Amino acid sequence: MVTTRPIERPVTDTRVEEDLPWQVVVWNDPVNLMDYVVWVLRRLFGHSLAEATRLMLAVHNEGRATVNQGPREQAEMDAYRLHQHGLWATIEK
Amino acid sequence: MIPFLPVPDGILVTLTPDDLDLLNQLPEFLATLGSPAEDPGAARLHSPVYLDDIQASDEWWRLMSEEFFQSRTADRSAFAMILESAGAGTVASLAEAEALLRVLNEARLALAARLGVREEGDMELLDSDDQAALDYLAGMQQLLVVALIGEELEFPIDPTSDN
Repeated sequence: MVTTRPIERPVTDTRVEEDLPWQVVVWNDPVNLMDYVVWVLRRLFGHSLAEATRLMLAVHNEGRATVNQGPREQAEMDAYRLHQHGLWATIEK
Repeated sequence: MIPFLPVPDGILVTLTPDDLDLLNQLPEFLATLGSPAEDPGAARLHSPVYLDDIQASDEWWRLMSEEFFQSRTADRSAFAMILESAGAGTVASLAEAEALLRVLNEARLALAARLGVREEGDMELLDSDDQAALDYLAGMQQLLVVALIGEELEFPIDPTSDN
């Protein structure tokens, strides 16, 4: 799994941070197939082909992309479903 | 022979004896995965969820472990059941075909990790037999994705491509 960039944590006060949604991030890896990743993003999040393709290319070219966001419970469930499909997903504020 | 063909009830799976020989080894291979701390293949399927908080990540995996166990066990059972009758051709429901796809991907990820594929370009450094095995699984995966989405791929089959 390639992690080309360190996580950038926003510098905010606690109140603002608590209000921020949790980001579900998919990371680039050298094995998952491009079309498979597009299929997973469409299947799990109902993205259009164009949006799923845009996100997959962002993962591929930039090393990571936020594919969904929301409350922590939802983000953790999204991470579970992505891992279930073999994508490396993390969650962060 | 087209291994995966969309039909009204799901996906028609028809595999050659050679395909069956290779694919039948996957559940057995996955069953050999050990502890993530010691086995790169297992570690690849157990990646951290909170990068900046290892304790939270470990806790997440602890809480979800039963879900993963049940899901992966169900996928491998569906995989084995489909392969049992795929020599003569069998119709897999969409859910079963998706389970088949997840097992193909899981095996490919674990195998690549065990072979030392960590970064872009590592795949090209593998010996030809290992590369052929990964390419074969990638090809089957691509064909199944085509059948599931029922349309041409945006990124046509290139077994060396990654995401």
